[in-house]
Amino acid sequence: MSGFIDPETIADLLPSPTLAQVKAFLLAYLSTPENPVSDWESGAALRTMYEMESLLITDLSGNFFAGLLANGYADTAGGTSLARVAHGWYEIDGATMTVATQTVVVACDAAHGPYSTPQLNALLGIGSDSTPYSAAAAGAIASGGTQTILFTAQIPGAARAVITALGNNLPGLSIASAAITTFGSSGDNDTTVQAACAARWPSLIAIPEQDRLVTWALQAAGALVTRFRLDADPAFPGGVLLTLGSTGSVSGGTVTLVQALLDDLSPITDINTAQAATNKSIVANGVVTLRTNLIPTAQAAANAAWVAYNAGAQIGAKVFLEALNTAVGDAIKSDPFSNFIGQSLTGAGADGNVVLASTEQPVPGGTLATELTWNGT
Amino acid sequence: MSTSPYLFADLSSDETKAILRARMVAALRADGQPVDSWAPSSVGGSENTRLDMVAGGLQQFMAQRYAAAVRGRLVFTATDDPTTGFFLSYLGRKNYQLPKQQSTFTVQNEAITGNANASAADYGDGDLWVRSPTTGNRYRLTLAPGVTVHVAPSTTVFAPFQAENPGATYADPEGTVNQMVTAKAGLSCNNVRSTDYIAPPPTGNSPGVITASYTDPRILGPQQAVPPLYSVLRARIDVSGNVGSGAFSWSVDGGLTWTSGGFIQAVFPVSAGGWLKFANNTLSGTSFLAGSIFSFIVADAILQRGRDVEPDPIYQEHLSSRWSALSLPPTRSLIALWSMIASAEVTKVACQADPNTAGGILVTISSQTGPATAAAQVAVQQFISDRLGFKGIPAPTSPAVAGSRSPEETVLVSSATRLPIVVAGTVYVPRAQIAAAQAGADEPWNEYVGGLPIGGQRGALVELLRMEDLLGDLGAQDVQGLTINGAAADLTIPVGNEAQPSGTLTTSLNWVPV
Repeated sequence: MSGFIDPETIADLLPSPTLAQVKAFLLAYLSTPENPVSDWESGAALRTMYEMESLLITDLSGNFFAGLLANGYADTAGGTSLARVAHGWYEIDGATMTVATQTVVVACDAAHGPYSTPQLNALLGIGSDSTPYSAAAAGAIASGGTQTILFTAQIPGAARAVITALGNNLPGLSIASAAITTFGSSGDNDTTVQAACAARWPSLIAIPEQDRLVTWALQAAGALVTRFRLDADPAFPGGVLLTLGSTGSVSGGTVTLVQALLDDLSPITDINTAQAATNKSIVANGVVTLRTNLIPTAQAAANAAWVAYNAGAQIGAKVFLEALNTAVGDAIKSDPFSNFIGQSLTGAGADGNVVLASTEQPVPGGTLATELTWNGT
Repeated sequence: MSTSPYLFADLSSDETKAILRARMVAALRADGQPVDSWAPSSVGGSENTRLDMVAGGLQQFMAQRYAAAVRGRLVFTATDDPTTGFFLSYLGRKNYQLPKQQSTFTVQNEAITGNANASAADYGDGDLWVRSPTTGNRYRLTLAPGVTVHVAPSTTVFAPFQAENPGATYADPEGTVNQMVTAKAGLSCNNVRSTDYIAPPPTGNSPGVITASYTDPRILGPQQAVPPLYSVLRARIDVSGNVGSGAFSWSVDGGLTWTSGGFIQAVFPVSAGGWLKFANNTLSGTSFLAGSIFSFIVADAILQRGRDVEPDPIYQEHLSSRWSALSLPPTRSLIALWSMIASAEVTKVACQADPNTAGGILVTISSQTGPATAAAQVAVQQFISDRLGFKGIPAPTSPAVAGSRSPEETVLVSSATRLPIVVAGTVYVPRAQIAAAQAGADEPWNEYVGGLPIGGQRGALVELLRMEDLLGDLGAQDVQGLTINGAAADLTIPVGNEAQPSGTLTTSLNWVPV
């Protein structure tokens, strides 16, 4: 197409006419023999109207029109216009702000009080970030007693600090403890709504980092499953088995949840089946020699690393003895005279590693503190 | 429920100056103004003159814009127009995140030959220009900064030459861009293919090698090399083995049908044209593993086919197909969008399930000016393959159904094969209108044929009636003996073929003055 411009901004979309263009266009209507436009005095009525209407049309077709257009597209709209575009085009409704609440236990010393409920309700809670909270006491407080008061933030938004002081305080009252009950939310703003709209279309360019079955499993039960394995289903030609794993066992309910989403989103021709991984207990053996005073810390560090390794190991893969060496070695290296000998994994093959069956996931059999022999020096 | 008194048709149509003016007059009359007693603008009446001016200004600068903006909110009413705005492209970019395809450049593979008297010299970007004496199209040596080609006496080098301008008009076929514009002493040029076939990496893990050529690789002397009519030759290993054992099949229709080639042979003549040469890998026990597919794309002098800006109706279809492409499993729409993103030269896409491979997809692509280049086919296949599912999952070891294979999704991409459309018949046109009818016939016919889908899809049919309609619109009083490719019937475009007008209607039809 001749003259095609790929528009990236509202200004590219339809350039605004200049005042000179508008004036030239309008002047043609007035340029009749009966209208001596070239003789107009500055301030003459018709000329004034002509000037004014030129300005008006230029503004309407330029600034006003551009603003109107901008409010019709998610990335340039704002406020209620953005809310309408987001709702109508993308089915996105921004979350509203909510208030935080905190539960504070106040104590009254024996020399003061008692105080009634209305007196306690007049208190203000002051967070360490200076956010004020209003009080709603569950009851009165006796001298030398305590009372739990629910404080509600006076300003919506996420809680960032606990209440550390009381405003309008009464003699003898102090904070015994405070905890955030409801964190509240800052809600969505134009920027977050725009980002949500932009994310509505999946990228056509991005190469998926994981298979779609894994994506769906995470969508269905992201907090409950952490490892996955895909296999051809021997029972159904073309079928796929998705084995779900976690740091521990995956419940039948979780599998059902995932299976339901697979069934909803898979092509009707596909037989994709979710199943839970079975736990393979990995028992470590060996003798650690270490300075006695370092043993507790080393046991904790070695165990943490070993647990993390097992939790991250793939379903149906191998559990490597070398990972145990690394976990223990890193934990004891601060002692130059430490040692780790006789290390092995129960049930390992000739190479010292444990081969998992295709549906097995490794979980530590116990803690390294008890599985290994720790000799103090 | 909307309480607006206006219909979408009202909002999306430009209000005329007369309507705007009438509304203002009605408002003024309702306000008690003596509108009927005002002197007409034709005699200088200031009130009516001003009404004309304001109504004209509003129509010119407001009504058009507002109506275009309203139409611009919907894919199938939005348009791109320098006067009323590029609402369609903006809508696509912003609300569908799919920019309109821009025009791109054709790139030719030019053979630059220095004769015995030529000076040895290095040429860099822009140093050489060549042209087609037939079309006048000019091409420029296009190299990265700092890169040169060295032309020595009595040698030939190949180099890419990019069209002077973007667009589909630069589609000069092989052997026609053969005139130097920047005349260097002793140099000549020609656009030619640099090899018989382009071979992308094979699928599967066969360590052996297969090569392909137009001519018998056993004969060392010169042979007549005739490019085959298909676009891709494929060899599939059916039974693992080495040369002299195993089994293979070949396909020239993009993998839709396969013909057994028997056991793996050192050299195999493909009956559809071309030769395959198999070579064992001496370091491996078995050189050719079942399931491997080797592809050989027929090379072309055109390395990249240029295109025009995506037309509005095509772009609208692509935006609409964004909805059905939302699914993570590959759908037709998603495959089409991926193909066009992978290579800007792709303008048409056909895809179907591979009847020979579970989880397989066969994709056929073409460009605005004919078959897609080898580079486009390779790019599209790689792009789609990267985004398919179940990668690397092996076949089940103990399947309940014997022969169950890996569920891995795979794709084979081929170019459509050009199907020339030749129209014949006698057209009776008033003598005074013949010249105009001939001049106006090709454009709508080419547009119609060029817009038809690749064969095998719905609507892949060249209709005789369309030609009769077209000729009637151009003033023909009678049409006799009309045929398409020799038959007096509609022509169904075969699977994998792309219809392309052949020649000009001025010569293919018999124009009789009446």
